[in-house]
Amino acid sequence: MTKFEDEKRKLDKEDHKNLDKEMHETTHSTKNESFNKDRTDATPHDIDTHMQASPTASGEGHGAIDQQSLPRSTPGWKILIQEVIHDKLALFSFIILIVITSYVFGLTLFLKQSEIVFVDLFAINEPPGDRFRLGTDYGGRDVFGQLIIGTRNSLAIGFLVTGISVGFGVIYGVVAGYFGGHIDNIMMRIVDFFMVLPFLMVIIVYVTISPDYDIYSFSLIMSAFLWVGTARLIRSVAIQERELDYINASRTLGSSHIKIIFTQLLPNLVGIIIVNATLNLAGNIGIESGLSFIGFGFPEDTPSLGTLMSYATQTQTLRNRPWIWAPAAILILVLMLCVRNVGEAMRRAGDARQRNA
Amino acid sequence: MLKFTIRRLLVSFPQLVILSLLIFFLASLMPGDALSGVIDPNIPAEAIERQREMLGLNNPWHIQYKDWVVNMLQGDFGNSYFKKQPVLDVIGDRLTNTIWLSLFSAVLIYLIGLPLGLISGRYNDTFLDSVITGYTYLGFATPTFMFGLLMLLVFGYNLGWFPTSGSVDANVTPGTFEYVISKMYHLVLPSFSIALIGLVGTVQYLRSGIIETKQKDYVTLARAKGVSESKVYTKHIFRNSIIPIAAFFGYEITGLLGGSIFIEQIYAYPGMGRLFLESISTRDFSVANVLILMYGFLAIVGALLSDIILSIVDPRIRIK
Repeated sequence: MTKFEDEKRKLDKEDHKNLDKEMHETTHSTKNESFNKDRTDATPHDIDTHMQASPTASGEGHGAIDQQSLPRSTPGWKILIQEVIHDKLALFSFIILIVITSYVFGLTLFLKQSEIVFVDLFAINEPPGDRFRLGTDYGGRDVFGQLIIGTRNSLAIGFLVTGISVGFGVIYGVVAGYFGGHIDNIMMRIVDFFMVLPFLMVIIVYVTISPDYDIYSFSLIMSAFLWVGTARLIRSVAIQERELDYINASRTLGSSHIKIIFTQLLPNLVGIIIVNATLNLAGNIGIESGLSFIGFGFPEDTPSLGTLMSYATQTQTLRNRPWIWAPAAILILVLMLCVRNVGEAMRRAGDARQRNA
Repeated sequence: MLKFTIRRLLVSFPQLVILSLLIFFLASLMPGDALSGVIDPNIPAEAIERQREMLGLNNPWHIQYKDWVVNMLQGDFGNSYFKKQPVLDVIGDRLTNTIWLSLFSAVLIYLIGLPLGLISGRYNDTFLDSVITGYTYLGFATPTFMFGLLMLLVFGYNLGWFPTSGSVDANVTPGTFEYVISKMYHLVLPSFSIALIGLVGTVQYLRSGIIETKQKDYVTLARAKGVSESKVYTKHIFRNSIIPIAAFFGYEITGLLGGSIFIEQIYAYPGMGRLFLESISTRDFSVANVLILMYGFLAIVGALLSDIILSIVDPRIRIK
């Protein structure tokens, strides 16, 4: 790492000076904005800062960090964290996410899945009360327990699918973008093909004909179609990055391709990868809950948030028993909103043009 | 232009071949063949074997594949195991229903999305812009099926303004004016459910496009020349910011077609997506296969359309 940083520092000094200048401009523009709130006519200085945190706080923060890191470049992930901390909405979302995740994963250590999905015919469709905090569904199963386990399952598969698909997509995209030429051409034709596959339908068919699928095979089959977006994005960035001097310098020095890709190219893409993974996480949770909703996600004894939502396809449940599906709906919404907020804040941080524009 | 189109068409052809191969193998993994649903226990095994031989089910796979493709090119998509009639008859007006739904949603998306994007891009960082941006944040986070359920509950059941299922009233005769009105009436809720969520991408693209374009030098030049502010936006900025959205048009249509599975299921709207789910749950794989093929075909056409539109609106692409 240190060697890489040294090299990068030397080679990209110019760039980082520019970056620091940009960050100073951000400071000014946010301050300007607070003084000229009523100005509607846009000048290049106050565009797209609307989601930034309160001007003074972020201004000081940026300034302080700039001075410390003047001789040095700020690593991509550090900028991301700074941006999330400075963006109050994103910080708030992040805290909510942490709270929900730890609550759910913590509580499931004490809850037994078999107990929760136990069918109790004497307690069918009970409204929320003393015995069942959020009532029961048509099988007399406790909705609150299902909600907790469902959130855990949804989150778990979201992380798993994102991990697999982003991991594969990054490797694929970096290889295609780094080598370019014929290799890139062939690899991108394959991606084009995946883009036109009706992947929801193929997943549904797989779920139907596969005799025993579990959380792992389900996330594998989902990832099999979801890596293409990441691959395209990473490839387009890698193509730009490969033309830069630090890559050329390493190549001249005789570093092997593998070494260049893993120790030079990838570390520079970390920011984009994190952002992409976060935004994908929200999307994947949505896709999984959609599939469970139409009955082709998890089996009913492994509830997910989509499974709870799917009870609402019965008109009676939808109209008269909101306690079964409404909490799940709100949770999906909150989770996706929070994950996206964090992701969007980081995307703005990664895009220096948007940050200072 | 023509050269570009032809070259692009040549690229989609192998895609189509690979898609059909993939679906052919997917089909061979699925249980059942052309004789399923016809066999009853009284038929002797030799007779079944004879039938199989006659239908070419014992042939090697490449010959079977060739027969399958040739049959499809002649319009024979096989029979439904479950309904025991040709697949094309089963699909029938399901296809037109889905196309109507997607078309309606697409029109709504552009009709509402473009003005919203234009406003929030032009008056960025105002109150109006934050309202619209807040809406896009919410829209990105809401899964379509959830929003559809909510719309169904509020406008279908609680307020009772719109029908909650089907694509047309049972007691109107086809061809009359009432029939068309009834069809439209049934389309309102599903297409709004799709469009109000689907338009957020368009709004965000247009917004950031406009914000980026309005700092360009040629815009400053136009202003310096004394072009009126509204003309600067309609003639100079909008033209350039619309390019990525226009280019995405084909993919948008494909996405709408594929995504309609959820909405069709919620509103019990008899379209292709619902037919697909029905055929999967009755294990009617011959229908399911043809539907996947159709969706894949539509997606290829959508991608083709996108590229051609892009080459029209952005001549720089053609040079490459």
